[in-house]
This record gives sequence, structure tokens and C-alpha cells, in this order.
Amino acid sequence: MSSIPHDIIFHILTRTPATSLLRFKAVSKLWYATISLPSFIKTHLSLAIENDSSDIFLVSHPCLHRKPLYCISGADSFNDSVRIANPLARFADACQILGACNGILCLSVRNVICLLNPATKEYKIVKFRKKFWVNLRNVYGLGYDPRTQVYKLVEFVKFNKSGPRFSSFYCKVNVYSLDDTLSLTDFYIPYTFTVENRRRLGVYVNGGLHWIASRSDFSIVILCYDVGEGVCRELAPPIDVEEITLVTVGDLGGQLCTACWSCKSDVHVWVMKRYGDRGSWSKLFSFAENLLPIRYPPVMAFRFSGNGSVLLQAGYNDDIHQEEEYFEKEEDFEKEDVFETEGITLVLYDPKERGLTELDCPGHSWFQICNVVTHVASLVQLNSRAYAIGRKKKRQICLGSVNGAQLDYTRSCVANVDSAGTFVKLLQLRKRSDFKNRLTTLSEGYASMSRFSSVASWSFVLVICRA
Amino acid sequence: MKDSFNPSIEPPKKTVTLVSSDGYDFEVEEEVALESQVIKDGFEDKAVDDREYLLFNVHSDTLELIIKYCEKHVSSRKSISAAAASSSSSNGEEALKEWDEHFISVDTNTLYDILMAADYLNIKSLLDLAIQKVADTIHGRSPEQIRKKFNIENDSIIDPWASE
Repeated sequence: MSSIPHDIIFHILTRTPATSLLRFKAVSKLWYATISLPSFIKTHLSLAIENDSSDIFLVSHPCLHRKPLYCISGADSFNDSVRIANPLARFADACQILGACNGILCLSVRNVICLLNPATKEYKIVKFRKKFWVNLRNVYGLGYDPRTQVYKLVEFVKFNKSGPRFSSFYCKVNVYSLDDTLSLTDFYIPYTFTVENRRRLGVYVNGGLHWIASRSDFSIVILCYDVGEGVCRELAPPIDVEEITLVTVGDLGGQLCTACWSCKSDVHVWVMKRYGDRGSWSKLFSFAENLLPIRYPPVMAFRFSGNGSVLLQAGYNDDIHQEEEYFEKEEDFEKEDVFETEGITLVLYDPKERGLTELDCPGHSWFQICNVVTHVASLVQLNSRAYAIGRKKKRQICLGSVNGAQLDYTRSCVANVDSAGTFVKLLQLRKRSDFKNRLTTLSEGYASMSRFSSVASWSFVLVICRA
Repeated sequence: MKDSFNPSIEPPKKTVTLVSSDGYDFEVEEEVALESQVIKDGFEDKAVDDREYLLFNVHSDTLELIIKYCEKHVSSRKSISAAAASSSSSNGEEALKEWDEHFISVDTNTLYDILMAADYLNIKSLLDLAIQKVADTIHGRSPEQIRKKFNIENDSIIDPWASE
């Protein structure tokens, strides 16, 4: 491997995960320069989207004032969840995710919007002068305009009362450009969003944001907001709308996909092979609805895993039903603590076995999670030079299964015993130089050892020891 | 690749001779040799009767592997398009993917030889495969291990832990 030409090195690095690239910046000046190139970052992002090497972010229920961000790493079997430093943690209110695109997350607290790249930890805060308040009844999505290189937040506001100009089947669309100008564009569209589609964040595929909306005759459409052109249009669904009752959209490897089914039929997952071409919808797989662990399951397919299986999200927290139309002020339904539903579940569909397996994410109670967001780890820069660093005293905890032992998460520490009688020990290592020494002594003294996430803090390393 | 492949009528096989750097001759079918963009370009320029290619940068051991790869890809593409023509379902692509995976699972030196040969001969699919494999092997390594592996002098001014 000694004399690989640098153009091949470039191609090798474009296929390396972002977490490794951040470390490889320290290899040499040439590597640093290569990894920092805007053209490199762009190629790396598009390859990462194509290969679908995305992570999943958990969106906490907004009624819970839970501030930490958790990310389930998609690198292997969705067993590791990593806590990400939240730049908005100093705010007292709960932080919400309003969208994700191109490796950037959009977080919000009150009138503050924060763009965050969880891989590089770079963030940019945008403060609105006029009142901006995230409302659960509104629909959100984050898009990127490649021409002006500006991130745009799209918000659909539903009309509650029908007036002479607009009926209740109209939505007002607010498009905030999240650059220094903070300009706001608004217009009206003759669509509305049903309750179960309202919590879904826009799916950013091929320069457009996609939602499921309803026309005034209650028929379902795939609504696309073209971020570059600034217009809304409809996309043709794979089969006639009369035949289907429930649809969701998702993103599978950079292609738009939908999951649709009608009452007591199979769930079909379709993929649009060529964007915008109705004839290119092709059915990926179908499965019986009763395989799903949740009774009323709006399913969203959103990720291929390494072995070709597809990750699906089933169910949603429908407490929003209860606040619907009754509360005028946001504060009112924040006080409502209604967690009557089972919440959401993540399931893996294996096309070879034609079976579903429920994902168990240690340490997270699903009723507290109202949505999940996929995210591609990228090196995309926000040019703010502000980096989120977790508080030093706070514990950062790696979760997951190590050498077959299942780890559980408790508030204070991580510990669990598996069937083989191994136990997990939490080690605190003050200095990095300690790390190697401690590790070697441990691995000599005990039979097996450890892995750790490169994303998480180095100050804690999980080590498995034989009892 | 021909659009309508009919296995019953086989065209007469034309062959090309590839000569490795250590002087071994490899006689391969024209179709197989044309997987390489370099040979394909040379083929169009050259006189028809000249059917010998000297590959100065490719050792016979590597060339053998590369021919094996190209033969497999040509034959499986034929079977996939034949299955598509008769509209019968086949898992040929998946099987090929598995074969590729097995093919590229080699030691570091062989991987390096394949990578360089694929670059020299300009075989895109093989180059992509080898690049992906190298990317997988370097994932999660430390900068020091990378420098050792790629024989890079340490001129970095960054604290290796700073970006963690």
C-alpha cells in the first residue's frame, strides 16, 4: 500500500465514513487539504447518500423537556446509541428537530433555530427577530438550495377557521431562508395535512421536500416543495389514490419511496427509480399488516441496512388528536401529559426471510419518542466556526451490545449482566495516555475487551470483563 | 454487450493475448479483454491482426486474478440479460455481488496489486470494488496506522486527538 497515487487516495477517502475522515485530517498536510476541499466534501456526501450509510436521530416527545440528542449509529446493527452535544442545551425549553438534509440537522427552541452538523459538531444559530414559535400543528421540513447555497426551513400553517378567501383546506406556506438575510417567503396552497401526516418531517430527495398532503376531496397526494424553484407541486403516487388509504413517504438510498396500504391489505413499499417519472415506481416488497407490532401503523421506510434489509418506522404518537382544535396557545398542550399510545417502533424488514424484526434500542423508551430522523454523516461545513462541545462534567455514555452482552441504560451508569455472566464496567480514564496502558493490562487480565464509539467522549470507555 | 443474447447461436470466439510483466502469455476472449477501457481504446486504434498486448505494470499472478474477474463479469452479465429477456426472475446480480465480495477478500499486498492493475487497465467496476475494500479496511484506524500503511511522512501540525 506504499505508493498509491493520490488521485486513488482521493477516491478511497470519499468512501470512508465521516467519523474516520475527521481523524484522518491528522495524517498529513496533504490529507488535511484533501479532506477539507469543498469538492471532496460534496462527492463524499453524494456517495454517502447513495450508499445509504445514514444514522438515525431520535426526536423526543415535545411535551418532555428532554434536551439531549441521541443518535443511533447505522454503521452496524443499530445497537449503538450515542449522545450528541446539543448546542441549544442552555435553553430551558425542550429542543425539537424540525428537519434534516445533507447531513445537517435543524433544531429549534422558541425563536432560535440551530443548524447542526452532528459529525463535525459545527453549528450555526439563527435568531428570528419577529415571533417564530414551533407549533405542533404545523408541518416542517428542512431543504437546501444548491444554487444559492442556503438552507431553507419550510413551515405549513393550517387554517383553523374558514373565511371568505380561504377554506380550511388551505395551508399557508412559510419559507424561511436560514442565512444572514432571514428572508421569509409565504404563499397559499389548496392542500391540508391530516393528523397522522402532520408529525412527519419533510423528506429531502433530489432537491425537493416531500410530504403527504390531502386535497379538499380528502384524496391523498405526494406534495413536493422544490427548494430551488420555490414552488409546490404534486407527484404522482405509484397506484391510483382510490385504491389506497394510507401513504407515507421516505428516502431509500437517495430515492423517494412510499409505503402504502388500504384497510386489511398488505403493506407495499415502492421506490421511484427515476425521480419525477411516474412509470419508474417499482414495488420493492410487500408484507402483511399483521406482522407489524403496532396495531395502527403508518409505516415509513427509510433506510437500507448493510445486508439489504430495510428499516421501517411504524406507528406514531397520536396525542396530538387530543389537542386538535381545542387549544389556541402552545403552552396549553405542553402541560398535557398524554402518552396513551404505544408510540413508534423501528422494525427491520429482511427481504430474503420476508420477516420483520423489532429493533430494541437500549435505554430509550419508545413512548417518549415521537419521531425519528435519518441523517447522513457528512463533513458539510456551515462556515460558522462554532463547535458544540459537551459539558466536561457530564457523562457521555456508549450504549449497545458488546461481545454479545446487552447493555442497558440507567440514568447514572451503564451496567447489565448477560446470560454468560459477563458484566460491564464503566471505566473513567483521565488522560488519553492512560488509555493504552489501562487497556493492555485489562485485556491481559481479563479475557475480553471492548469497543468504543469514536463519536462519544474518550473519557469513558466501556470494558467488558469476565466475571 | 449485445442486447439480444441467444445461447444457441454462438459467434466464433476471437482471442487476444495479454503478456504480463514477467513474460507470461495469457490468451483470453476478446470480449473479456474489452472489459479494460485501456485495451478497448487500444483495440480501436490498432490494426486488426495485432492481437498482443504487453502489460508492463501487471504481474502474472495479478493478471490471472483480473482475467478471472473479467470472465466472471462477462458471463454473469450474459446470464442476467438472458434472464431479463425471457422475463424470468433471477438473483444473478445478488450472486455476482457475493462473488465480488469473496473475490476481493484478499491480503493487503494482493489488494494493492489488484488496485494498481485495475487503475492501469482502467476497469471501472473492479477499481470501485478495490477502492471500497481499501476504504473499509482503513475505517476506524488511527492516523499513525494510516501513515504506516500508506508510507506517509508525518508532517501534520494537528494534534491527532483534536478532531475527536
